[in-house]
Amino acid sequence: MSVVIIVIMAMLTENFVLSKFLGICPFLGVSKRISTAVGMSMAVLFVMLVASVITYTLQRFVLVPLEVTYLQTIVFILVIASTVQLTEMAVQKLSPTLYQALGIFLPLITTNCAVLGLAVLNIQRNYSLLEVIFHSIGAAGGFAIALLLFAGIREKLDWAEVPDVFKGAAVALITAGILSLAFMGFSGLAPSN
Amino acid sequence: MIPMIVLCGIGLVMASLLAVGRKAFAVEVDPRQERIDEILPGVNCGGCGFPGCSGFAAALVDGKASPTDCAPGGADLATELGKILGVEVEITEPMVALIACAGTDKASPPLAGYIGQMTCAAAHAVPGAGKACTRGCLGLGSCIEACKFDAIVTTSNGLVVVIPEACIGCGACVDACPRGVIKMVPKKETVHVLCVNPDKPKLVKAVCTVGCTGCKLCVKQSKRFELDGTLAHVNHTGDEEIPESAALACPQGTILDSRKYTVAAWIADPSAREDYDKRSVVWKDEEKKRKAELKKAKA
Repeated sequence: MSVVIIVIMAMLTENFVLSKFLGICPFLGVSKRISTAVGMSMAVLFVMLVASVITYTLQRFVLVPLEVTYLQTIVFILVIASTVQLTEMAVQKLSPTLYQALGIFLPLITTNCAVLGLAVLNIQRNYSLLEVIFHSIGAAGGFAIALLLFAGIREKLDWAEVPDVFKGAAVALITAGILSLAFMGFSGLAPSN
Repeated sequence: MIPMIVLCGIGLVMASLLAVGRKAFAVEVDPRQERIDEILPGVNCGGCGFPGCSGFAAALVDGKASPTDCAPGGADLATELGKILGVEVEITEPMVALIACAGTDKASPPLAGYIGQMTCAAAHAVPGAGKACTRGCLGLGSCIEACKFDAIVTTSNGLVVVIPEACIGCGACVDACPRGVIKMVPKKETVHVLCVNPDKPKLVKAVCTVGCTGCKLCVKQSKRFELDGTLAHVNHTGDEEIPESAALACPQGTILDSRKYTVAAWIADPSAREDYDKRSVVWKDEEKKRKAELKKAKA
């Protein structure tokens, strides 16, 4: 499969947030402002890229040869958690404003199922290292698209007349649902096997 | 054995990576900021105008805030902060919020039923909502929501009162009140004029039975009372003790003597107060005396 198809599929048809429903927590938590959404997307892109490359290498050169593939989950989580910690330190050093804006959601990427899901999917689909890299970029891009779209909508929602009972999280969840429905339309893009 | 080695090995590699990262990305924080953070109350009331206590700590270190800006911490904290920052601190007097209105819904009955949004700001925007007096407390309690210390409570008669013991003087309620009924007063102040209506006496009397009419009888009792148009208020700068007779002198019963009553007890039912009758008697007696003296002087 060409890497272009992998990227486009990961972004649109298999969008991690809106089709696979992974990583909903930051999707709802950090989508109030476009600026923080951009920062979060960048952090996720970095974590996804680094984590999937490391997990892929570990799986290929450590877990499989030593026949301990059942350690996959715990090893992957260990790697992801450390990567996130490293990212957090870097963000705190390089952009304190972004660090404050992301707040708790930055360390929460540790337990973000989108990152672990990506690492596991890479293995399940027998991707090569190049494909893994592009799949990660696509997945992070999809996450960014979903987050930015949603943040844009929520910024507009602030000014919309929303019935009292729907205000806040309720209308955000409904919007997320409609957005997800819209993304179902992309399923026609998937190449038939 | 192999899985253990694998796991431990990966853990060790990751740990050393993190250790290196910690050094490489070390963020230098002013050590004073951490020490300040530790001694701040940590209630994040926002009374200082900075985002939370840690924001205040950062502002202090930057020199953008004054050690006395933390109302919950009070004088003790200000001195401690001054020590850490190495600056002299002038201790200001502790303040508490006072809802300067005694107009219960009995004293100032509502003109019409209000069924809109139950916040003071919303009701204030609607003409005719709330009590007859358009200057006083609406009693819907937006200040209660603003208060993070549960220091403001509603009474059963359409007013809200501040519990001075619980109030830390952050001033959040002052901003929450659309009518400006809430004032910050020195905690040690004993006597208060519970009215903010600056209207003419006739208009005040028309809308409220306990409003200040500017009759100056309190001013005669103590120099601490001052008249601003037709509205009396207590000047907090003086040291002179206000005599108990001051509250009794007020024919309207607008003046609260907190040495005798809490605000809540005082407004609960004015007619049940033991000196309620005495008040007018004293007042009438003094008027009689004064007139008699005037006559004598003339004669």
